[in-house]
Amino acid sequence: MGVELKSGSGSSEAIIVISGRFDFSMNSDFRKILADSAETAVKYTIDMGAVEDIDSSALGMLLLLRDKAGGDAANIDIVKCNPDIVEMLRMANFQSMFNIK
Amino acid sequence: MHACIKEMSQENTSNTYSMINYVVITAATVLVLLFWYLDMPGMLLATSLTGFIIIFRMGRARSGEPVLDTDTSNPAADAAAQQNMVYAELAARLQAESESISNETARISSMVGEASSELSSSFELLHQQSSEQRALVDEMMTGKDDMEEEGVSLRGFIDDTEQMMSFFIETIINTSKESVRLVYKLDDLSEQVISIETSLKDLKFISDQTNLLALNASIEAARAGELGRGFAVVADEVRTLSMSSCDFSNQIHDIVAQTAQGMKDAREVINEIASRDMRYVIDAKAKINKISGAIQTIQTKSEENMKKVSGIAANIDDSVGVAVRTLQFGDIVKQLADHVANRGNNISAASAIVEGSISMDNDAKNDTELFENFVAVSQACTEAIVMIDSIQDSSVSQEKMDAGDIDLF
Repeated sequence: MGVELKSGSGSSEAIIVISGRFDFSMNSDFRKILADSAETAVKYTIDMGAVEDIDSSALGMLLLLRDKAGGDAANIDIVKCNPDIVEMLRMANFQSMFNIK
Repeated sequence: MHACIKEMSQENTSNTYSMINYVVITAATVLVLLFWYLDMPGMLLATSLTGFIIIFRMGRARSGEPVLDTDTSNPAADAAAQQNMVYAELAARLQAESESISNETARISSMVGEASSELSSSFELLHQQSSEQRALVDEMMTGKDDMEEEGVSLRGFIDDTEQMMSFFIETIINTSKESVRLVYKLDDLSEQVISIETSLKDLKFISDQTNLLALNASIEAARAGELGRGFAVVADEVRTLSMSSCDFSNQIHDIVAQTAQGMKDAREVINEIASRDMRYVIDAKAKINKISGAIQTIQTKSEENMKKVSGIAANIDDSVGVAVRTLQFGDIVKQLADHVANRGNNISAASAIVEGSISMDNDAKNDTELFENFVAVSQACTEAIVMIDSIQDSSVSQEKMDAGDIDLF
């Protein structure tokens, strides 16, 4: 279980791969990734293929990422979610803030 | 009839008698032809009967015998007598039949009257209930409108609930987001605490070193004897100071340790706050959507049905109106029945006259009396004719049920 920055730090597209349970315990790792990519990344892709479950803290972290990536101007894709997670993102009105695929 | 006339004229010897015969026969013939021409069957029947009877009576009387005397050797008179009996029987039958007609039509009249009135009240009741039903439906529909005006509506309630749910979801997620940020701040503080610890270590090293130096200084002071006594005092003071510094260091270390523990506890609390299970919320929202859909369906269906009920009530009213109009037939039938009953009575009366005239003729002893009887019977027949005519004039004009608009309500 963890969060990993696939594309190297310093590239313009940041690919973040999350696995296992995406919850509060991941907050410090997530912060590191944010720090690594914030300077140069213009577009983010968050790969949720290996994510089993999320809770409200995961949603909070995604929102922090968005704030850091420019708020309304941010360009963030969330991909490969399982149907339950898609449902949760929709209920939280995330489809208006992220590109959910 | 012509055969009879021949016979009578053959056997006739008296002039007076012949004259009366001629008068009677002529009168009867003329009347019959007249009524036949005027197409008055009732009159025709009455006159024919009268004519027959008078002629045969006269045939019998001419031979000087009482009409009903069966001892006579006169064949004509016998035939006449027999004819009279048959006519009397016929008259009796007619009377009986016409009485039956009257009775039966009276029954028809009353039955129809009763049935009509019962049906009428039944339809009245039906109409009342249909109106009540309609009023209730209208009440329901306006009741719904009133509620919506006041802002009380099911739809509104559901919308409010959905909005509330969205608000709570947003609040939860925001709280989580701010909690993560708080933890990051805590992490930053943690780093500062760590640097305090590092500084404390340095401080400890310095005070330890100071202590050693002071110790060395004391030893050198003791070796210098008298001259080193002042220096020894200074060295001692320095040692005391460095030991105090050590104490303070330890105290700071303890405080820092507590702070670190406090931060650790805080992190746990924040973890708790930030980690909300979203599945429960999804389930709740899904349920609300389902109920919302069902309520919408129910409302639409109920509106549809209320409109249908209203339409049906209108149809019932129309049907009831038609039925009530049709009940008019009852009055007409009653009238017709009464008329038929009257005709029956008239036939009865006419038959009675005929019967009476037959029995009257039994009393005739001579031609004069016979003639008088004939006149009386003619008068009675005329009365009967007048009576029957008066009914003909006022027959019911309405031939069938047509659409007269009847406003019952």
